[in-house]
Amino acid sequence: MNRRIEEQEYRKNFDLKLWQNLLRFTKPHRRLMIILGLVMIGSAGVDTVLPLFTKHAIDHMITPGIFEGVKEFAALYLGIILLQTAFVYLLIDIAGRIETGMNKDLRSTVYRKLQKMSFSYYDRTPTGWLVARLTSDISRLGDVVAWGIVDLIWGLALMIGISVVIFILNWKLALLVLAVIPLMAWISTKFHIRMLRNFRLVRRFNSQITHGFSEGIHGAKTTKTLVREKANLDEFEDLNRQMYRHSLRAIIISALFMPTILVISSIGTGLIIWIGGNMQIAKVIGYGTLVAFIAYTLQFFEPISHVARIFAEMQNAQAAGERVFSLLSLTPEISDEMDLCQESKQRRMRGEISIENITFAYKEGKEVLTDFSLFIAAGESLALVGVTGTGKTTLVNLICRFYEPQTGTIKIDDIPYQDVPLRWIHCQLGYVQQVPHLFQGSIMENIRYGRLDATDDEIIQAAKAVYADDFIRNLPGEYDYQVGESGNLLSTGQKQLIAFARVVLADPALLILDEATASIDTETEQLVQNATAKLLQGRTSIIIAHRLSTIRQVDRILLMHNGHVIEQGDHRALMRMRGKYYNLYINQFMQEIADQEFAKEA
Amino acid sequence: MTAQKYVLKYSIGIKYRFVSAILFIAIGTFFSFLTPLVLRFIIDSVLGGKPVDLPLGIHHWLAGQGTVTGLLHNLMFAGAVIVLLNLIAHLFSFLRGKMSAHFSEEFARRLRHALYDHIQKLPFSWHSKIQTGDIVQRCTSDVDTVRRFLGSQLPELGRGIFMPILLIPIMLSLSPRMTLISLSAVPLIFLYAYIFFRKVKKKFLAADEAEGVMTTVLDEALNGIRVVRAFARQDHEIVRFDQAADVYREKCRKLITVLAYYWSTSDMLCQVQIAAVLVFGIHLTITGAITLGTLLAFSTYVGMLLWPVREMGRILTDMGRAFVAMKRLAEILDTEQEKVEGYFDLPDDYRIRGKIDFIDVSFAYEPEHQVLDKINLSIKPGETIALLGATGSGKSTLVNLIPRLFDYEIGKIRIDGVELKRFNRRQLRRQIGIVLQEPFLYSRTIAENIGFAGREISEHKIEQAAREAALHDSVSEFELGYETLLGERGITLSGGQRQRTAIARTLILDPPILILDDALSAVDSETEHQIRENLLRRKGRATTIIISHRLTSVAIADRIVVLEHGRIVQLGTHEELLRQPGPYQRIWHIQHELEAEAG
Repeated sequence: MNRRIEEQEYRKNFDLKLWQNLLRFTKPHRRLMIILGLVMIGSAGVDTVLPLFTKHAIDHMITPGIFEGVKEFAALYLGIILLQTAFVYLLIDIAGRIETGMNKDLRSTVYRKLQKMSFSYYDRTPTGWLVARLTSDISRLGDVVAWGIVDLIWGLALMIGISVVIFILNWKLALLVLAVIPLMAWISTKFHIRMLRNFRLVRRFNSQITHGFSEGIHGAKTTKTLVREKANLDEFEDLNRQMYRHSLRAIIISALFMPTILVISSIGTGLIIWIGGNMQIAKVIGYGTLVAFIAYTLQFFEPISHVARIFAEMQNAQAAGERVFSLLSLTPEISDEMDLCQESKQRRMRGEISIENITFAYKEGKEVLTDFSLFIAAGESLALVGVTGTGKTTLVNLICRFYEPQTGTIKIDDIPYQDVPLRWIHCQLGYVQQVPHLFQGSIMENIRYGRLDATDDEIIQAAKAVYADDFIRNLPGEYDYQVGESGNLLSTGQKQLIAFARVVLADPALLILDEATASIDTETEQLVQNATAKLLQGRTSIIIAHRLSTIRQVDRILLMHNGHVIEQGDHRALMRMRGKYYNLYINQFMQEIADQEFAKEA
Repeated sequence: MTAQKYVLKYSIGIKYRFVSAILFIAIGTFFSFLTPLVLRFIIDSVLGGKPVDLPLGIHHWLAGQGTVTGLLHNLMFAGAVIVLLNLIAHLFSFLRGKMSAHFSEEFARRLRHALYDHIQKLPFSWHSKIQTGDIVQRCTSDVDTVRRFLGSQLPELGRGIFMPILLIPIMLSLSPRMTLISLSAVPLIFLYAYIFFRKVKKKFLAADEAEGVMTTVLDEALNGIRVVRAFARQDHEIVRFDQAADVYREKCRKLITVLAYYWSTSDMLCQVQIAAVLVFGIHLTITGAITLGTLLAFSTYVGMLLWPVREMGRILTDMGRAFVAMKRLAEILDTEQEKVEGYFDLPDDYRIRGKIDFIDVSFAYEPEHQVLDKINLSIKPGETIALLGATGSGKSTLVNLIPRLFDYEIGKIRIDGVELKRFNRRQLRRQIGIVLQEPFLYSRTIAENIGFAGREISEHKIEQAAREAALHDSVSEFELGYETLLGERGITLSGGQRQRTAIARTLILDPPILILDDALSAVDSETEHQIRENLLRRKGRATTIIISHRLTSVAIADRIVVLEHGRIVQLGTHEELLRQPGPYQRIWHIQHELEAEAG
């Protein structure tokens, strides 16, 4: 399906509005662009006059055999070369400035927009897709705009320049030269479009090959146990062969391009020799003119090829542009018009939450919560228990206002939460995910994320409070230990402790804790348990609970099923009911009990 | 093997393509040198009326054919010769591109094939150590680097070498003095390119690195968007990204400035060389040392020579990259494959009885760290054994030894009385069905995932297996049912659904030895109960080993093995273990305590 969409985007005609949008981003570089345009015209001018030097030398020095003026000639030639050197330097440097500057501006703007988008958007949109928009697509736009100007202006100016010069030299021969131009332009454009399409196809196959390798390696154990090596290899080879065929074709077609163009341009040369040669014999033109014409026919193909490439690439860039600008035209589903003033920033949430008759669905028609009500007293700790997909996470997301309910109200401290700034809620919030997300950097930096102005000492205190200090001290570099991309150099349990320290530092009025299901080694497990107890003190806490020990600590347990609370109360009361909670408890927490018992043995 | 030997190995049978590509370069280059000679002849002899004087004795040959006079009187014919020469030259330059593509693409295909095949056959111990991303990167971009080198850079180098070899004799025969002038700056331009690209390498790397950092910042912030929001750190993240994007921009801009400096000065050198040819040429032409046609031929030749020379400087600095890439690939290919062959062959339809004996088996992944310590265990055919133990006690390692995913050195493991190492490894694995805690599913349909390990499996059988694994109802809820696509381009199953798919995939094979390695951990208790009932019904059909933490699952076993630090500490039936003081008894009693507590 994706494939078809891409093709459609590609075939679309020139989209004027899109390019106008894009030109807006060139505004800060207007002056540079004008300079660049002038430089390109100058450069094309030099390229136009260079063959005239040879002509002059032949007609005014060699033919008459006069040696005078050769010094002036050489000096002028050198001067022109220096001028061209300056032009080339300027054009690359300025185009580079425009390209990189525009890319940066576009990236910043799009990124700001993304930071405003609500969670539902991130649920629908894979991160990888967004990353590609912000990196390769934007790079392509900057490239086309900056270097496109270079090639377009230079190409057009040179074509005009050469045309003017050859018409002045001899209009009959000029017409002859221009006769092959339309053919060359047409073939160039065709080729460039075809080449781009082929290489896009190859790229697609390449990503499939990558996926094939990745699957082959990830699934190695499964493949071995199922003894599927042969079948896997056959399937991979299918893909490999397709990649081979397409890649081969793409290369062969591009290998055909330059030879074709050059042969066509040699037809121009042949014509000049035939007709121009006869003119020279008839003394209608001089040697110099003839030689200059031969040079011009050889020179003409380059600007044509460049301009053709730009047109082909513009179509390609248009698709990239559409994707990038589609991000800019998004409207966030939860808008936060209210500014966070200093006064409200200081005001601490009491943490009383009242949910009244809310209904919520991610997709229309599939309600996750229906007419749901719940009151949470300030400072209460609450555990949500139940099998996956029963709305625990949804409930938490709604309380945090990552989503808003379709009907009903949620009040925080007795105020409907749409009436307070979104940022204020989030400033009061502490949120720990199942697999906590850490950022590349040191442990110190990661904990500081909880409060950016915290001192090193405060950070160490926070780590101590959640019993993370010991394991951190055992790492090389201690608090300066680099946690790696997404914190991958730490275990899940260790990441969890860091995330706890982060929350302690932030000291939120409302704590959301999504406990890890993945097994943690028993030692860390004990630490995490103790730390959790610490976290619950002094704030309203809502925990999606997977651990027995946590459940025993909280004030109230909600057993959820299909978006409803089917049992609630404290642990003892629920066990006494001998209902669903009792069954779940017996089954679900056996592993934890077993692990604890084995730990005792050891 | 060295990188070069691998290159030769995968070029077997296609080397002629490379050789002919090089040959075509030579032919094409030669013909492209003829055009300026024809122009010279036209200018000097046809238009200028000077005596015919072509190098390499061509004019004798032409005179013999009577062509000279033809050319003299018919400029149309001369023009046609120019077109014809161009056609031949460019035809060969196209053929060169075609041939080298045939060579390099076939080479890359073979290389990818060999890599995929080899990686699958490497022992699992290798797979458990490597970083997938790194290996995938090598198999794709390193292969591409080598392909590009063989397909375009190496032939370009060939051209850089052929050009002077073919051109210098022609130039010398026209005018030795002009030859000297034309070549004077060429070594300088070559060295300038070579040194520049060596030096600027670091700047390229710095720009790449800055892009990597920017992408990481972006990726982390978008993946961690919940954390960003929960701490209201949007502004902080915007600043972080802006900084990274700014560094990237700065590095790129600096690189471009350096490139601007290089291209402009290098262009200048080339132009000065061309100007020198023209100015000295004018002088020599006026003094009569050379003809106008010769001057024009030289100014064409010098242009032809300069660009490839400049490219060569760049290619030579790039060559190192291709060698490094090939070396990294050779590293993978040099790793020894898992030995498959056994002492005998099992017939395809042979079914082992399923008796398993562990005799004094010890195992360690790293020498210091003993995982299994003198395991002695005898499992009867058709018996169900439960393995119990804390995380890290060696349960998974023990079962991984049975299909020989790891090779043990100390002790013996026998199936039906035959030492495991005597079996053909693949034939042995066909007898064993193992379901992992985090099973891997392929990016294809559910039906294919269940059925594709067996031979000719019907839809009916797939559904039956799915029912046994309590998966059928979940699948029926999908719009496309069993044809639902999984993975990247399809849907993502929940942990429990994945485990059940893996169970169905194994049950359908009906293996004589069945191993469930914590394979029900993500399945909810009701579904687990269902699967347990189904497994009970199969009891006795296969020797079954279950690893689980849930006592309800464990209790259905004939015997229970409790592992601790790689040793068997308890062994017996459920009833026996209940009577023994130990962890099993305690865990079991907790349940009763709970009931008492609740009551």
